[in-house]
Amino acid sequence: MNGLTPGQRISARRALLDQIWNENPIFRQVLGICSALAVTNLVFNTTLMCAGLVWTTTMSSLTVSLMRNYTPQRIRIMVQVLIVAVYVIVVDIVFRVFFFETHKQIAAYVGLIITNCIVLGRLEAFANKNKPVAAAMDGLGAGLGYSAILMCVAVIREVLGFGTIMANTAWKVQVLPLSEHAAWWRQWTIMVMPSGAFFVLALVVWAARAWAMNRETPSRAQPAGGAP
Amino acid sequence: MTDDRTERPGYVLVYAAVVSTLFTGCIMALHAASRAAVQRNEKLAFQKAMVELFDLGDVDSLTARQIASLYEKHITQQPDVTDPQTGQTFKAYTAAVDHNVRGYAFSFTGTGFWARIDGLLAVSPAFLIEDDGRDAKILGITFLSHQETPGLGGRITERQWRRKFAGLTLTPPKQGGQWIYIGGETSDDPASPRYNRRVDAITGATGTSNALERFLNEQIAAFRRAMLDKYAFVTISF
Repeated sequence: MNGLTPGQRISARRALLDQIWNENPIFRQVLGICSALAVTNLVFNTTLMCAGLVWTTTMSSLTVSLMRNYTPQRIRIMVQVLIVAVYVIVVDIVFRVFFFETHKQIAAYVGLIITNCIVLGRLEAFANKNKPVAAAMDGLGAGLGYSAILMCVAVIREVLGFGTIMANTAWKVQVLPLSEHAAWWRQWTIMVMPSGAFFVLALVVWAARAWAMNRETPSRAQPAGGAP
Repeated sequence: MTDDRTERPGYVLVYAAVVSTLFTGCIMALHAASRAAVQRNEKLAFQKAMVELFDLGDVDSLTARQIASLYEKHITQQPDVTDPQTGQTFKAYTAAVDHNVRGYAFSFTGTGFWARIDGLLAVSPAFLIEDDGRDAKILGITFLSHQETPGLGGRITERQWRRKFAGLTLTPPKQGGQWIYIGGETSDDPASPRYNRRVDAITGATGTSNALERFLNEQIAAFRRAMLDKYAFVTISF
């Protein structure tokens, strides 16, 4: 992980940036795509889900790191799951209080953050072994990296599926006309369905990886200093 | 990093107990602190649904206090009624404006495509006239909770679709007919059992539409039996 040798420290800045791009959970590690497929047909629902995940990854990484020197190794996974569950329940309660209508739609998926591979993966791989600030930045980066890809998927799906952005909110923008009002445009029902997410996610991951490879190839192609 | 002391069985037990108690306590405290706000949200959502159902005001432009005031002024919860045939119990509500009954609403529940769907259906007073319920109409429908796919079956909550129910005929159907139809062929022939009893199904959500049609038909009939059973020998006026 992170190209480090055992025992080597990583800076908070690098921890953050690595998770956003170099080790992006979705398009590099292909983690957490279950919820990526489930909640991305509406931008507002996705925004709330991403906010919940960013909060959970950041705070649980910080907490696990703060407790790492006191947590017995044999029960560390149990403690990590407990910590994640606590932060997810906080998210659930906050949504229930402030976003009651949307909460009714995404409540099932919010609860599933507890079992999201990204969260437990970062706790076990990084937060459990690093200092609190770096761990929090790593968690924040993982959450933001996940969110960036999900928002791209959500925008594409909502525009093609509903013709809108931020439907069901006061900030709704009608980008494409409804099918019944335009002869030239039919809404793509498949984009609203979970199967549409597979196609869009695959295309977004492909585009991101292709772009990343183009950027990274020249630097890797540099002569390695006389190696045969 | 951890040392040997943290691996001793006694330490592990105490640590697990302390950590569990601490975090669980925090959640319980937060839950208790937010309970009032959550209950307020649930109550407001219900009152808003009722005000919209009986067209008592524009819920989008009303404040929470105005919605509560309209609800208190016009809506009365009646004693629960039970269908003698199926044993199903319904919560029943009456809406009155200027001492005239605008209609009745009842709670319905059924299994949708994925899970349980709860809602309220409002009907005009003629629905409970025992002979043939002439002029009986649906006033509106609303959904309080569901787990249908957002964007597909979840569109049952969209106002645009729900409004299509308002004005549908709700007289007892002829032999072989249904109270309402969701999807299927349309008919402009007044002699057809489907005439003014049909709304479009939701595109891409045939499962939800079919499930809704099935249990709404069952429960409209059951609610009517329940009300007529309870109020058969009294004039229904509130």
